[in-house]
Amino acid sequence: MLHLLAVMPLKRKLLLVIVMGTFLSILVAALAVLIYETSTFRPRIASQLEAVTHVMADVNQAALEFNDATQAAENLSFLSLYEGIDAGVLYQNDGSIFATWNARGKGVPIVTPATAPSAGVQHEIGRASMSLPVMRDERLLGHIWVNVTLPPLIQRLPQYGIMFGALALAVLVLGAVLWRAMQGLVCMPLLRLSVAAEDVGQTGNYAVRVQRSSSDEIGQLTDEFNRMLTVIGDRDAALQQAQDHLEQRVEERSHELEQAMTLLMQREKLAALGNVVAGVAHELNTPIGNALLTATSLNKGTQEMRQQMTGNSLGRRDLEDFVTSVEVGASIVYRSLERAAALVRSFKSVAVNETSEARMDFDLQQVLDDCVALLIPGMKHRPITVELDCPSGIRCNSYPGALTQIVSNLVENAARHGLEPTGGGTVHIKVQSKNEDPMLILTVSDQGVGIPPEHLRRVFEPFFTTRLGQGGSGLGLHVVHSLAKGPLGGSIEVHSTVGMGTTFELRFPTNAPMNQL
Amino acid sequence: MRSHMKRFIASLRTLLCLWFLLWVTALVHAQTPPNQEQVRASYVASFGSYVEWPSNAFADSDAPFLIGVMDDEPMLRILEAGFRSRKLQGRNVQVRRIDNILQAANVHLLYVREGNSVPLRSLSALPVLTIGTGTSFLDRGGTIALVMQKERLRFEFNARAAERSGLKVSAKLQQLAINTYEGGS
Repeated sequence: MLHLLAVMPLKRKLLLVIVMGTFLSILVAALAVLIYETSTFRPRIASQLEAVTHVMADVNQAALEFNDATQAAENLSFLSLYEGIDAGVLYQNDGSIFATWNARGKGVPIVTPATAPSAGVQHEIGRASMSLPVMRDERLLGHIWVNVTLPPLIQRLPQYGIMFGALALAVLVLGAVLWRAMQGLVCMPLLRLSVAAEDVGQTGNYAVRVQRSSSDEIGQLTDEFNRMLTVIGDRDAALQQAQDHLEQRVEERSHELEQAMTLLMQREKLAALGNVVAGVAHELNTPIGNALLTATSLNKGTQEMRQQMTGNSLGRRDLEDFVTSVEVGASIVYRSLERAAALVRSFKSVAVNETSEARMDFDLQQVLDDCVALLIPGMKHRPITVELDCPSGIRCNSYPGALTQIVSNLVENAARHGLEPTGGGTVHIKVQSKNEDPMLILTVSDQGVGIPPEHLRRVFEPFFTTRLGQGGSGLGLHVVHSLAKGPLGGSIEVHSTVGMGTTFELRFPTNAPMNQL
Repeated sequence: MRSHMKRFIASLRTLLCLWFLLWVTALVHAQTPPNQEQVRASYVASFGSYVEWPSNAFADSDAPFLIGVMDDEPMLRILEAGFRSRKLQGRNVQVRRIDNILQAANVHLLYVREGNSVPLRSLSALPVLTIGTGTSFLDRGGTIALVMQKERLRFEFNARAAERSGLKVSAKLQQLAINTYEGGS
C-alpha cells in the first residue's frame, strides 16, 4: 500500500485525498445525523405529540360543546398530517367515545381505550399516547386521546439515504471542481517542472526555462529551478571552455615534447655515431701505423741498398736479406691496409645505414659480425668480451641500421651498467630462429648486477637514467624501444634479477612491416 | 312480641317499597334524554363562551354578564338555575326577563323564543348577541339561529349581524354553523 502510494503520480494522490476526504466527511456526517436522529427522535415525537394533543383539545371544544360529532371527526382527521400519529379519540364528558380517527393500513391496528383514559403521557415500546381533558372556561367538556407509533429506524433510513446520496453527489461534484482547480494550481506547475528537469537531464540543454504561473511556493521553486539551470549552464560552459583550452594546451605541449624527443633522439643517434667513429679511428690507427712503420722501415732499407749498390759493396747475402725484408714488409703493409680497408668498409656500411635508415636485404650474421667488430674496439680497454652466437644463412628484409643501433646500445648498456661495477665479464648475443617462423628472437644477456625491480618497468621510459649528470641521457633504451617497435615492427622485453644479470629479449620479423617509418 | 315483629316487617316493607319507587323514578329520570328545552338552554349558555364582547359593553371589570330571555319562562328558569354558580366571560351572570325589546339594549345576550317575531333592528348597532330560532330570525337581523337538523339541534350564523354588533365570534363556533350568512338587514 505504502509502496503503491510512493509510486503514484501526484495527480492521483490529490484525487485520492479528495475522494477519501469526501467519503470520510460524508461518513462522519452520516454518523452524526444518525446519532442525532436516534437521540432526538423520541423527544421530538413526544413534544410533537404533546403539541398536537393540545391543539386537538383546543379545536374540538365547540364540537364537543355543541355535540357535533361530524365536525369532531373532521377535526381529528387532521391528525393524519402529523408523522407517526396514527389514532385519536375524542371522549364525551361522561367518558363515552364521541369521535375517533384511525390511520388505516399503517401497521397494526391501534387498540383505542373504550373509555376516557386519565390525563397524561403513556410510553410503551414503539408507541406513546397522550390524553388531555378538553376544557372551556374551566368547564370540562370531554377528553382527547392521541396515539403515536414510533416508526423503526430502518423505515426512516431511506429518507436519509436519499439525502446522503444527494449530499455525496454534491460533494463529489465539488470535489471534482476542486480537483480540477488543484490540478491547475498545483499539479500542472509541478508537472512542468518535472518535465523540464527530465528534459534537461536527458539532453543537457540548460537553456530550458520553466514558465512561472504563481507566486506561491511552487512559483518560488520554479524561480529557483530556473536560477539553478542558469548557474549550472554557466558553469558547464566555463568548464567546457576550460576543457577545450586544456586540450589545446596539452596538444601544444605534446607537440613540443615530440619535437624535443625527436631532436634528442637524433642527437643520441649522432652521439652513438660519434662513439663508433672514435672507436673506428682508434682501430684504424693501429694497422695504418703498422703500415706506415713498415713502409718507413722499407724505405730506409731501400736507401741502404742503393748506397751499397753505388759503393759496389753489395754482396749476394745483402741482396737476399733485403728481398726477404721487402717481402715481410710488403706482407705487413698488405695485411695492415687490408684490415684498415675492412674496417672502413664495415664502418661505411654501418654509418650509411644508420643515417639513411635504408631498408634492404641483408644477412643477419654478417650485420651482427660487423656490429660486434665495431663494438670490440670500445671494449678493449675494459675487461669485457662480446660473444656472438648467430645461425648462418638468416636472410632479412629490414633495417640493418636500426638493428645495429639496438644491438650496440644493448651491449653498451650491458657493459656499462651491468658488468663494469662487477669488474667485467662477457656479453652474450644470441639469435634464435625456428624453422618457418618469421619471428626471430635476439637476446643480449649478461651476468652483471641486474636491475632493481622498481627500475625494471621504467627502463624504457624516456629520460629515465640512474646516472643523471654522469653522461647518461636516459634515452638509450627508449631509442631501443622505439626502434624495435617502429622500423623493425617487433617488441622488446627485459628480464632481470638483481645479482644474477639482465636479459633483453628482442622479437622481430625477418620481413619488417611496411610503412613503419 | 309477634305484633312488634309484624309492625317491624310492615314498616320494612313500606321502606323497601318507597326505596324501590325512588330508585325507579331515578332510573326513569336518568334514561330519558335531556329535554329539548334543556339542550337549547345549554346551547344558549355555551354560545356566550365563544363570543368576545367589545370592552365598552361592560361598565367595569366587576360588571355582571347580563342574559335577557324574551317570552320564554322555562328557558328563563333553566338558565337562572344553570348560572347560579357558573361564570361567563369571567363574570357573574344575571338572567333577566325581557318584555320589551327596548329593555334588551343593555343586556349582552338576548334569547328570543321561537315564534316571537319582535323586530330586532333597534339592537343592530349594540353589542348584543341575539339568539333565536329558524332562518327567518337571521333575516330579521338576529345573530344566531337554532335549527333542527336530522333530529339534532344545530345553528346558523349571521356574520354581518355579528360584525355590526362589534362581536367577535370564535372560529370554533363558526366552524360548527350549518350555514353562515353574510347578508340580511
